[in-house]
Amino acid sequence: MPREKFQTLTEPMFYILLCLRRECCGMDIMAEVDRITAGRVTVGPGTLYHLLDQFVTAGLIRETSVQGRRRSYILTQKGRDMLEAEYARLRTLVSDYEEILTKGETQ
Amino acid sequence: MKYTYRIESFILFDCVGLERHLEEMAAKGLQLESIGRMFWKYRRTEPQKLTYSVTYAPDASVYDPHPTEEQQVLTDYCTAAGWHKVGDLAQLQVFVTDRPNPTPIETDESIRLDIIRKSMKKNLIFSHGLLGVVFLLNILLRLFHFVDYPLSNLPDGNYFNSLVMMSYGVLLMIADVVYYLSWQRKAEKRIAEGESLPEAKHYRTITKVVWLILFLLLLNMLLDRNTGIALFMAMYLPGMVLILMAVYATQQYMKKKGVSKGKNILVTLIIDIVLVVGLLGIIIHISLQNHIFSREAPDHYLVNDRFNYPLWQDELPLYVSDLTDEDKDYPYYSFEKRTKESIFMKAEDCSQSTPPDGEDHPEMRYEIYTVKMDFLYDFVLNAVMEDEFRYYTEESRAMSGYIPQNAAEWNADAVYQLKIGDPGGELMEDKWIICKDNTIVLFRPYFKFTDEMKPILSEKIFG
Repeated sequence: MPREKFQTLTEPMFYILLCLRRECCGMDIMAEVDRITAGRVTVGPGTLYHLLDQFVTAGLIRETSVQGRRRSYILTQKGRDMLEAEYARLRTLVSDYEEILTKGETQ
Repeated sequence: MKYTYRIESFILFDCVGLERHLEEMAAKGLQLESIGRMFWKYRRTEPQKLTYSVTYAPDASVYDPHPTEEQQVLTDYCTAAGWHKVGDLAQLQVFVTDRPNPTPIETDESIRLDIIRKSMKKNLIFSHGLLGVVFLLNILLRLFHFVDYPLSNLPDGNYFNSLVMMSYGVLLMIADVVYYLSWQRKAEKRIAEGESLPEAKHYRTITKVVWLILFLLLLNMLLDRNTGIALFMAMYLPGMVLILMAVYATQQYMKKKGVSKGKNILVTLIIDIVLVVGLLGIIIHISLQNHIFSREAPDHYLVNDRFNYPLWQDELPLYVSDLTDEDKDYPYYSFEKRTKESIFMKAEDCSQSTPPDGEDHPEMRYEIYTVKMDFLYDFVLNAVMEDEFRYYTEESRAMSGYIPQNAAEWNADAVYQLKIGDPGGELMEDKWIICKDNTIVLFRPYFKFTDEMKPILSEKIFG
């Protein structure tokens, strides 16, 4: 069953949105994701291009400036909320893990 | 530098198969140089290990004068990641790199499938849908024509050839779409299992079989012996190839000149229509001049110094002189036989007629239908009978019909005579249907037809 769009974020989606907490040029995002994740997560140029396009369409990011073909983007409030929601979801996962496995084991 | 040009048979969504194919070609020393609508250009080099990546720009079109902004930005991103663009064809974008272990262009297979879906909606689904509807309408029109004129179409080999060609086209389009949809389902399943997109396996082999069948169908049309269709096709096929080349050249020229996508599509469409109509006009003109579809009578009779009446000298199975001695030596008889044949039926339209110069001589016309498939016999017999009443009023039709006669007099299996009825009374016409074995004859003598003539007719026609 395919994932419902942006219901949960994949790692590349998460990191692209995270990069766009500040205004960032599309082309720089690849390097930024690589830097933040220390090369653990790779975003291909095609995937990045199509994801940016889909994020704009979904209103998660917006274009801030266009210089030639260099386009810069930034998170919208909707995008920020989605990132927050994903963070909360991940925190819940971690918390559940800790509750069940870490604390449960010690009791 | 040496180049090789190839026609590549692949289906647009098969990015995985295409990447593998291009890498194999590079390993053989053939590097993709550019992609054309008809031919793919390869540069001969030393065998090299290259990595190809195929992605899609859903909004791109072959009519765009320049790469769209979408394509340019995508290319910029890919270039920044170390990829070099080789070429594109509509939505399909091909990149190459010689870097070992390059960052893949697509790192999320579900996004990749999404983009393929968008591209296919604009390409495969749209074009196949549009063309499929046109072909289906054509088939429906032909079928309606068949229902109205079964006796004309059933023995017409060309009718069935073109029907088969159209149906084959529709079948291929449906097969392509079904193949795509099944590939898409398989892709979704694989992605859900964390695997990469599947390859459209066997497509190249299937394409070869498709072309072989198409070639055999065309060969069958070219070898048609009954009409001028073979000559027509011999002119039409090269003409169509030339038109395709001309349309393609025009399209490319307009792209080079920076003509917008909309104008390019419009002009290409107009040129396409004009050239096809022009080609058909030229072929029909040549055909008429050289009597490809029609024959020229060996002799003519000048009627009232006004027009030439053709005097055919075809060999007939039955002549008026076989039945009556009247005007036996009349010199201006026209003996005409027109034959049509298909795998279902043979139809011979025979007539012995005289010029309309006011003189009265015995004439006759008969049509011989030889049914090649038993299950069609009753259908053909019914069609022969019903053809008579095509233009009757409902009232006259209800009172008219073919009445069974004594078949023994004719040495036949069944014989029917036309009865025409109207409120004024009934009239038995000299119009007969004689059936024997798999042959049905519609016979119309225009002279006094007597009982003695009946077995002679059967002997001559049925043998």
